[in-house]
Amino acid sequence: MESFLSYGFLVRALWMGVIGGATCGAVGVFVVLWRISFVGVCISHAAFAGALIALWLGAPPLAGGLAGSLGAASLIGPLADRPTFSPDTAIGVIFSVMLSLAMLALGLLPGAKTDGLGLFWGSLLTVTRLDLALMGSAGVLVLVFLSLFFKEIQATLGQRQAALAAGIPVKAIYYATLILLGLVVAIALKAIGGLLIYSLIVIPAVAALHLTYSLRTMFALAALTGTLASMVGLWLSFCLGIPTGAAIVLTAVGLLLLAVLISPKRATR
Amino acid sequence: MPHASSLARLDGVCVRLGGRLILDRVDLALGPGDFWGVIGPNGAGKSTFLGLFNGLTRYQDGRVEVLGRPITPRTARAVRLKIAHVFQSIEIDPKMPLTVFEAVLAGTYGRLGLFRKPGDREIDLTRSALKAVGLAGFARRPLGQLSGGERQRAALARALAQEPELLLLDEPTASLDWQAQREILTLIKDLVRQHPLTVVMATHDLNAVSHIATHAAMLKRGRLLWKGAVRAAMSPRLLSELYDVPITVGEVEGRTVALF
Repeated sequence: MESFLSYGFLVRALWMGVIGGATCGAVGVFVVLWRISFVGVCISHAAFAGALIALWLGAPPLAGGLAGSLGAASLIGPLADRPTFSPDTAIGVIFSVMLSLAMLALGLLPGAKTDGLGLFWGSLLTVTRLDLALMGSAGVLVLVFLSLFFKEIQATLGQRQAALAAGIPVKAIYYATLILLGLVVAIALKAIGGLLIYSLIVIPAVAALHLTYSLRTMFALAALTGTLASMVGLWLSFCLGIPTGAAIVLTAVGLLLLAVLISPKRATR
Repeated sequence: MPHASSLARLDGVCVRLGGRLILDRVDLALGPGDFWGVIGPNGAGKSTFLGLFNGLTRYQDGRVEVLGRPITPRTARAVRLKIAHVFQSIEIDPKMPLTVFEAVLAGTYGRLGLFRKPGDREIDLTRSALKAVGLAGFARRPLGQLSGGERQRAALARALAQEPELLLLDEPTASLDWQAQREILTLIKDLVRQHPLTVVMATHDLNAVSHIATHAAMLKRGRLLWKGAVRAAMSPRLLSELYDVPITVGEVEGRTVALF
């Protein structure tokens, strides 16, 4: 561990894992409880495609990622909000389009495609101070949002229509959440990678769902699981010389399995 | 028929969705304390009709006025704070991190407003509402682990915690077994007796309407076929015309029942 921490880039990677894992885990709670996996998948892959297109155009990938994720949030959000909308077919089409755009941009990239491939798998070890500051800001934003609107978020659980009918600004909360999700995805993209970012959003939240009946605790557990997965995954990656993003997500899957095994909800129907 | 002091009124209201006319020139006036049963075949526009009172349904022509205020997209939110809406019972994930108490407490959040935490008053309202629907002992249970009937009780408690002046019930007994249906209807009847509520209930259950409503409105293909006192509504001719099937009406143990 001492040799691990003696490298500055590894310390930054660890911090990114702690902050990014916690933030991704926390926003994942919305995706899981509101059952908007479709929106989450599309936003993640739109950010991925946007970042690669930006790279091809010579623009900063973060700007492209933000444009992609926020654009997807504003386009797909209203679509998924329609009561008649069925995500089953749309997901196949939009997911394929986003991935094709990402592949196309990668193919068009001149020269060595190291930066582009880095966006596929993630490169936690190249995290800069700016990346850390951005991720930290996104984390603080999520925390502030949660503390300001916790009761409204809780009011929408399983009774969205009733909350809307009672005068709770359900749509405003929903769209603000999608924007936060887009921000977090775009900022974490470089570290975690376009193919794995969605996993780090959803898996910790699913693990937390198995462990508690308290929404407050679920947010905390999802953040903790995301952090733990990132730290352990990074350490495994360092020790075993395996890709960091994959190590983090597989660790998260391991934690999910553990949560399912020890879940107090196993007996429920 | 219109009351001198209507709690809510619809004047010539038309609703179109995707170019299709869902409600066609609907007029109705609700007096304070009225209990309206809205009946009609599937697709008649009952749920759309209910949504007019709290702005969940957008209308293109006519005028909707509730609690003295016209309902428009701009005014709807303020009026919603005084209107509770109970929807058809839906399945909730048994793992959902939400207790019955938290679900009912959420009924107070609209009036409480943003950035304010629930205090003693909201907690007392929640406890009273849970007691009124017979769920006082279920407060700590996860909402998703209740039966369909219990979930509807919780939904009614949430509505009560909102301290509404108008209660909208959208098929509150749909998909419940007979025992749960009877319990919910009895509960609604008791709640209306104990609280100063005006109610509009959309339902397929004609006998429930004759049992607890004071007035009936019949919707057919978006048009108000008939409206008036519930006793007069239980007419074989009217009901047969409404549903396009022969319906007979009889008396069983002092209750008027419709049979098809």
